[in-house]
Amino acid sequence: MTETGHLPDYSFFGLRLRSPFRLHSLPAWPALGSDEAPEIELCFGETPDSLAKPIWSSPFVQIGSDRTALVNISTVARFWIHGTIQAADMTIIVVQPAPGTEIFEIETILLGTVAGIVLHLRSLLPLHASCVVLGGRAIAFSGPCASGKSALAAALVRRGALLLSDDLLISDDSGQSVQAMVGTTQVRLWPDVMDRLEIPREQRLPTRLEHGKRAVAVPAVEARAWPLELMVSIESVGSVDEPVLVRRHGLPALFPFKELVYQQEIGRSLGNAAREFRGLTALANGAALFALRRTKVLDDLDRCADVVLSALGGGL
Amino acid sequence: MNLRGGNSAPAQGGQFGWLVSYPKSGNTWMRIMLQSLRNGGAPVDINESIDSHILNREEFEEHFGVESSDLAAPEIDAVRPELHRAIARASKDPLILRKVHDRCWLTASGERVFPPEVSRGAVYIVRDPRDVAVSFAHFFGLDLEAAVDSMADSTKTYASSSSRLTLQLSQQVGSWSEHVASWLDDAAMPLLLIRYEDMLADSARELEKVARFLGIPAEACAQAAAAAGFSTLREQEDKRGFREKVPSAARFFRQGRSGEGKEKLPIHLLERIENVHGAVMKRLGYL
Repeated sequence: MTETGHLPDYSFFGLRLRSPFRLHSLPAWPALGSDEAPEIELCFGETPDSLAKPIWSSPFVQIGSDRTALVNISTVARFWIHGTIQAADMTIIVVQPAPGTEIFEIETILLGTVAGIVLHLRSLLPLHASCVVLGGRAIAFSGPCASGKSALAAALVRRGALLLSDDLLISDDSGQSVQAMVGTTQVRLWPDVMDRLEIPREQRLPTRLEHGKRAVAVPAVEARAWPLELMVSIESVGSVDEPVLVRRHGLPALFPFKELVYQQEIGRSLGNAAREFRGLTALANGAALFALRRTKVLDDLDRCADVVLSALGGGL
Repeated sequence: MNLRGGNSAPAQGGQFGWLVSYPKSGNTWMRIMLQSLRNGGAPVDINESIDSHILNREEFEEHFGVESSDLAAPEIDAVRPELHRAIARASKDPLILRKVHDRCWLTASGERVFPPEVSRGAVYIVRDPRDVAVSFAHFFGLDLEAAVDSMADSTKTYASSSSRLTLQLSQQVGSWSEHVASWLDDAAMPLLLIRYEDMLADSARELEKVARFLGIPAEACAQAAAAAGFSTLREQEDKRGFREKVPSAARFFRQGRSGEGKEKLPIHLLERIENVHGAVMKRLGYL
């Protein structure tokens, strides 16, 4: 599975990653400073069947007491995530593919479940959100599963926005303002949304074998951090005639945190609760917060995009 | 001989109280009554969260730390029992009420999806399948023929489309009579059978049976039944909609009466229902 020839390093949610195979949904690491060692190295190899005495475990994920992790999707691969003695700040991801798996399936798990764990292990704050840049401003969409985060990001990209990240977003509060780090360059959608957005069939790339979700490459922003100015949580309500954007204020606007923070339980098992609270407080203070109240009907997707665009045009 | 099957001894142990029914059989009504009862008979806002929801992806991801939409359906099905155990372990609530539309089924490795060791018991709500058919057709925007077909489909699953993502995890429902029989005969836990028609006749009385079975204080049953009266629910839906209504349905709380099936179904569909489901209908006194 290892490719020969030159491969770029990638920006893995703001971290430099080196991979033995081409990744289609991450931007290349900017050429400047290209001699530096990567912060994350992906390689193929043997992985343990399980971790001894995990501090957190599920049928798919184990977190070890020594800040290691094992992700096991039995039909795709096992991913063993650990540090090195030589370089304290380096993360190794060892991939042991299952027989018959495809590289795109490995990439799918890598950019979702595995990425979230790597980011928690590095004490970052991964959010369950999709994000676009409009007029130089990053606008993130959060909400429960199936609320339409990716669909709305894709609808806005169709209207001229640039994708910053799909489904997983790093919010960086280390500076004076909250920044969103560039993430994936593909948006993952289901056929109903792709049909609605008239995405041609040849642009729909598989994410898993015998699975409906597809990855679509879309115009992406320059690979750097962008000021995260708006945070919109999508709420499905019983009935509203038209989607409506409602201003919210303060930390309670980000409730429930377990919905907003990607794999919150894993982050907390790693002792990141205080970090989570600090990051969300910074987000609540630094970004303008909104709720987008909509019905569950896919038909209102374009109107949701209208509401966001017209609010932005009105100088939010 | 217990013609109805099941073991209606008071529920014991375990945290889960499963509120089980084939769709369109009064499950949501019972959930709303129980929500009110657990709040001392207080009014229920149907658009606020009703506690006893169907298992969903949020819980799967919370407890398993994995992106559920990247998994294939068999990978999710295989760990449903463990998800129930994980929810029980993580909850301090001595009684976790959950709505269920699944039939009582086993995973590919033979494990019970609804593990008896974490179950207090199952309340099974059954409704005359002829009335279910009419309600089902309205709810899903189907003609009556298609509704009757669906109710006879052994392979029927919900929330399992490969063309769209749903918040609910996929559910194995099966045909109407398989659904009833799977729970009545093979739940492996205490089970209380409640008839929708009896709920219509005296909802407070039926609620009290359920409360006593699940170990919920039953003093406020009359107030809870009144708070969840059909006209109250319908009025709320008229004013502000209902978040559990699907787009195909004009409304969720529609008529809620019994006997509509015999009036509205053509003869050949009535005969078809009796042919397919007759044995179970007889067992329940519907024939």
